[in-house]
Amino acid sequence: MAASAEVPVRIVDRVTLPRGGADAWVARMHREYRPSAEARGYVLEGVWQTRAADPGVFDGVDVVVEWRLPGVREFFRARAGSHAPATVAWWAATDELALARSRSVLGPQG
Amino acid sequence: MSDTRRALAVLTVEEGRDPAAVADALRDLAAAVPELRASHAGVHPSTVVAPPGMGAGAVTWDLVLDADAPHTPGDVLAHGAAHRLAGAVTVASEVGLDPLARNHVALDGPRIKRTLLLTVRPGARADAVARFEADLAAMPTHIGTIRSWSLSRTTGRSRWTHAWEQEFASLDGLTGEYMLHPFHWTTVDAWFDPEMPDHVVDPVLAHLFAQYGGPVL
Repeated sequence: MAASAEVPVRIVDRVTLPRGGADAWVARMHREYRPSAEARGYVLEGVWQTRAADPGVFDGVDVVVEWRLPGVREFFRARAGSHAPATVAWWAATDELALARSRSVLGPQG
Repeated sequence: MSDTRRALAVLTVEEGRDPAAVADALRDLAAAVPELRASHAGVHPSTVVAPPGMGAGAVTWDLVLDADAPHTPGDVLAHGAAHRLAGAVTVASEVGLDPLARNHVALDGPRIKRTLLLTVRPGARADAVARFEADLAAMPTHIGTIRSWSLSRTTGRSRWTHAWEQEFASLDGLTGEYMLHPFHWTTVDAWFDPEMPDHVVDPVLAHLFAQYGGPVL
């Protein structure tokens, strides 16, 4: 992938939450994080999750939230707002709940 | 072991003083201060991003000093040969540079030299800091517009822990390929992004650049 402002950008958040905690976290995400993310230019592509295994096998549920931005300059414009106190507080609250969390910023393959 | 060492300062230019004349006077110090082997100075344009006093109209001053000279940039400014600069500048920030990795690439003529001063957050894991430093040092293998470069840990009293410096043949090399290359925004930027769980860099940065007539690095 060459340097270009025109390539679409995908941001994928993967959050592993305790059994029974996924629905509440996703509802909070729509309420507390999504509006500010969209104000920065993020477009929500979708929310996916695994189903909990039998109790005692693995007590986590993976939730994947995918966002898109139309290009690299839009990505950096959105990044300029990533230090906002509400955004920092959102991820701090998530990290208190989550068993694990990652974020990947991706461009087209090749 | 090298017989020289590098230091870098960002100078606030006092109101009413001409930043270009200040930069000229700083460059002239290399001929007047015995322990100062080289002195390069560039005036920041309006598009730098930096804390107060380090932004547009301030000056990045690069010094090469004798390795055993005790001078900080502020000490050099106190030398008698710097009398023309008395009252013209204030040291907003100064660091010694302890290079981790660097490369010199021949480039004729004027160039843009960019300096990113950053602070690794206290408590960042050592293995994460090592991977961050490795990713920065890998940027020149991906981004062809980076010519000479240097990645350093800082020494001395300063808020900054690292200096990441590059030269470009033109500003487009910085605002274009450097910013737009996917290795930058998919990989390196993650260390700076507070939304990333593993980020290591404090959000306060000094993203500085200026034009120079010849090589600095």
